[in-house]
Amino acid sequence: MIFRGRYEDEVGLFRPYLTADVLSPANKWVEVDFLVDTGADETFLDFRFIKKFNIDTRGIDVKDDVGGVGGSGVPYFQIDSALKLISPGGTKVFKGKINIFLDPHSSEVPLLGRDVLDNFVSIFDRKQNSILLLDEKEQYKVSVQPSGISNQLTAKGME
Amino acid sequence: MALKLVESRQATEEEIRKFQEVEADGNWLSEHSAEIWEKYRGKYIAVIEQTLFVGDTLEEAISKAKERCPEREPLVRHIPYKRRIWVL
Repeated sequence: MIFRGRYEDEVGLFRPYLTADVLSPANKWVEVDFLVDTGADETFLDFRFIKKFNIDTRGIDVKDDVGGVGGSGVPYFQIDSALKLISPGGTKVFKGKINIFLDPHSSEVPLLGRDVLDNFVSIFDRKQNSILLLDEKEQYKVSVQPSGISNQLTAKGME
Repeated sequence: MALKLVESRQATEEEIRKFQEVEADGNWLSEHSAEIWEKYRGKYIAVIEQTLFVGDTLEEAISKAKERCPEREPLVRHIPYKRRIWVL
């Protein structure tokens, strides 16, 4: 299976996105557009999803063991959920906790982290506008030329 | 427990149809993102069925998109006035 994302040109900053379905607390699959973030240990939804999922934050277990460039002690909480990646070649379902930022300044967008990404070979190719997640059954090849590594990267199903 | 892979299977016809709709919108946004980010600074945008909807608030942009296609979630973005570098 190959799952495809794409780059968006945001004033000269090319950012990688991939759409996945997330299971809401109301048990409904919701399309979520994630920034593909290999630097994130886990997957996070941004502050807007508290309202979108109609979550009552009173009495929730607030965690603060997240750190990054924004500093440490970033507040968030977790919900039991699932995430689904879909392609014509198949579907993969992940279950467990999804984190939600409590602070609107923590991130403007949902982040797809390595709890999901580590299940794939992740290929980022800005020149070909390709974000590819390949599962273990797929193969890829990087052609090495005498002058260096070419950009002729091929994966099964890409040709 | 963080997310764990629990199931790998064939996609259903419904999933493939939904995937094709989402992929078409994503590709459309990718192709037009440079123009959108230049033209709609300070606005919220929503994309559905390869059509752009613009609002002063997130709710306005989504509401316009939902009029077009109530059963789907649009792709949404906030377009800041100034270029901002993200380090996440």
